[in-house]
This record gives sequence, C-alpha cells and structure tokens, in this order.
Amino acid sequence: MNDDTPLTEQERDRLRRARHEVAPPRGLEERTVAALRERGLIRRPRRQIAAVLALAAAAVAMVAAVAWMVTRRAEPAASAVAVATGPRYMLLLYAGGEPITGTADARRREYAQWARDIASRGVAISGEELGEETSVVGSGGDVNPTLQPRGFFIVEAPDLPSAERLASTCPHLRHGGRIVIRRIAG
Amino acid sequence: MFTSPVSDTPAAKGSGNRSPDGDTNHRVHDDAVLIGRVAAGDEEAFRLLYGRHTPAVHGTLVRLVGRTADAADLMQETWLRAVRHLALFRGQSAFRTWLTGIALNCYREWRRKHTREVVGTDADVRPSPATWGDEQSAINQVLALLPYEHREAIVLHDIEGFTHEEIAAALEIEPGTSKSRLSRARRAFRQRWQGTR
Repeated sequence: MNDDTPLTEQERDRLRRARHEVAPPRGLEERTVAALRERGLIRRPRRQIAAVLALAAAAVAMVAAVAWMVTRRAEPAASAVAVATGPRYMLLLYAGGEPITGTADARRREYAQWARDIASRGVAISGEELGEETSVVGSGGDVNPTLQPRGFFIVEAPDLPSAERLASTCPHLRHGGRIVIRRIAG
Repeated sequence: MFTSPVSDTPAAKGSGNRSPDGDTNHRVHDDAVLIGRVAAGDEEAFRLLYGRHTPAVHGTLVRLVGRTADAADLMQETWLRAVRHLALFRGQSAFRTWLTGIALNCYREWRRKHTREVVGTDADVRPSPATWGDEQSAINQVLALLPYEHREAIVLHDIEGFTHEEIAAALEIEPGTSKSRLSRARRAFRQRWQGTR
C-alpha cells in the first residue's frame, strides 16, 4: 500500500509527532452550549436553574414589595429600596392655599412615581398617606383638621437645603399643596 | 448533512490507533455514562464530554482546515450534530472515533464550498503544548501550502492514522483514490518540506 511513495522512518516519526491536541478558542464552549440550549438539546444544570429561579423570585418579591409599598396608600406613599445611613428629613404634606387638583387616584400614582424615581437613584425614601380619621388625646385646645398633614415622606438627605431641593420636585406642590420639612432627630 | 461517520465503517471499528480516549475500560465507561446524561439534556455532562474530546478533534480540524476560526466553526457544528444524533451512537466504537467521523463529514461539506479557495493558514496555528517547537509549526506551515486533497491525505493517513477505507468512507471517495492521492501528497509534502530546511 502506497509503496510507490513510502515514508522514511524519520518522516513517519515526524508526522506522527504532528498529531497533537489543539486547544479550542476560549469562547467556543459557551458558544456551543448556547447553541445546544437554543435548540433544546441540553438544559442548564438544576442548581443553576434553582439559582436563577431564586434570583428571579427575589427580584419579583422585591418589585412586588416596592410596588405594594409605593402604591398601596397612594398619595404620599413611597418605597424604601435603599437603607438610610445619613440624616433623615420628614416632609409633611399639607393642603395649601389653593384647592388640591386632580383626582385622588391620579395624584397617588404621580406621587408614587416620584418616590420610585428618587428611590431608583439610591436615595432612601418612604412615606404614607394619612386618612381623615383623627383623634386627639391629651390637654390643649381644638385641632383644626385642615391644618393637619395629609401625608408624609421620610427621605435621606445630607442637610436641610438638600432636603428642600428634593421636596421642591414633589408633585404635591404642583397640586397646590405645601410641604413642611423637619429633620428627624437622632 | 450528517451521513455516516467514519467510525460506523467496519474498518473503523477494527482500528484502535486513533482512539486515545478509549484505551481504558474506565474511560469508555465514563463516556457511556456522560453520553447517557447528555442524551437526557444534561448540560454539565456535555461540558465534561466537550472538555474531554474537543482538543483532539479540534486539532484534527485545524490541521485539515488550516484556519482556527473555520476549525472552531466546524467543531461547533460537529458537536451540534453529535448531540442531535446521539441516539445513533451505539458504543460500537470509541466515542471520539464517532465524533471525529462527524467532524470529517463537516469538514467534507466545508471543503466542497472552499475547493477553489486559495489555500491559507492562520499565523496562530500553534501546536499545543508549545514546547513541541518549530518542527510542529513547520509541518503546519507546509501542510497549509498543500492543496486540500494532498493536505487531507497526509493529515488523515500519516498523522491521524486512518486507513484508506476509513478515509474513503469519510470523504466519499474510492479507497484507490485515497491511495493515489496519498502518494502524490507525500511527494508534494516532501518537496515542500525540503524547501523549508
């Protein structure tokens, strides 16, 4: 066989030595795995699926919690997706000299979106809408309900001017309300 | 289209010189277990099988094709076809032999599209381990200068150790054609090799 052009011993050895492994390109394995997954021929490992599901569940839970916190009470309701580590200020929302505009639900959505926008920047914020039902205990005179806050936000801010700047963007002002800012002691 | 890998030929079953993975029962058993898991869609098992067999088969493709990017594409296609047709592997040959057969089918299809292309190679076709040095690089360079028919004759017969029957089955040619090509290829290789010395 092939005797008309036989290899010398040296040539044979040389060519046999040329038989060696060649490492595939670095990304080929992932590329191949992705292609196989896409075709439904292989699946991610169970623990990887579990990890992905856990992450997804955590993300869904977080989103749900945020959404619940932000929307359940509406008007000043907000979320706290960041933990406050610095000074905190209370933004007390009062009715202003002009009637509050817009429907309650529309305002709630607007306030909630404002709070989400702030939270998305990493600023700790929370809040609640206050109901009409009011009671007073202790000594003192009458309480004027129109002077009572409608709701509040608690925000993290380095100082009072920063808290004022943040409050000045609150949609409550556009609806004719006013905001009193008080630093939370401690 | 995947037809019949070289390993399914009787000649392939009888030859043991390119089944470095199948030399021990332990490895054969491991492959069988992994193959079963891959068939059930187990990605981890696939990665193990990939890591075990890819460098050798990829090496063959690099020597045949001469360009690492093309060889990588063919390697990927080889795995896609192998996993898709895993049920066709009945364990009558070593898995690597079967996989190499599929790789050669992929190569054959690729070569039909590139027959008229100028033969070339990457500068980065390096042997591994690199310490094998200049002789291996020189062989790759000389192979890259040969026409495909000559190159595959040398690579498959003199380097990879396939028989003419196996080569004929893989490339869909007559065994006699494989023999005559090898004869011409050796002369061409020798001439080129002496030119490099």
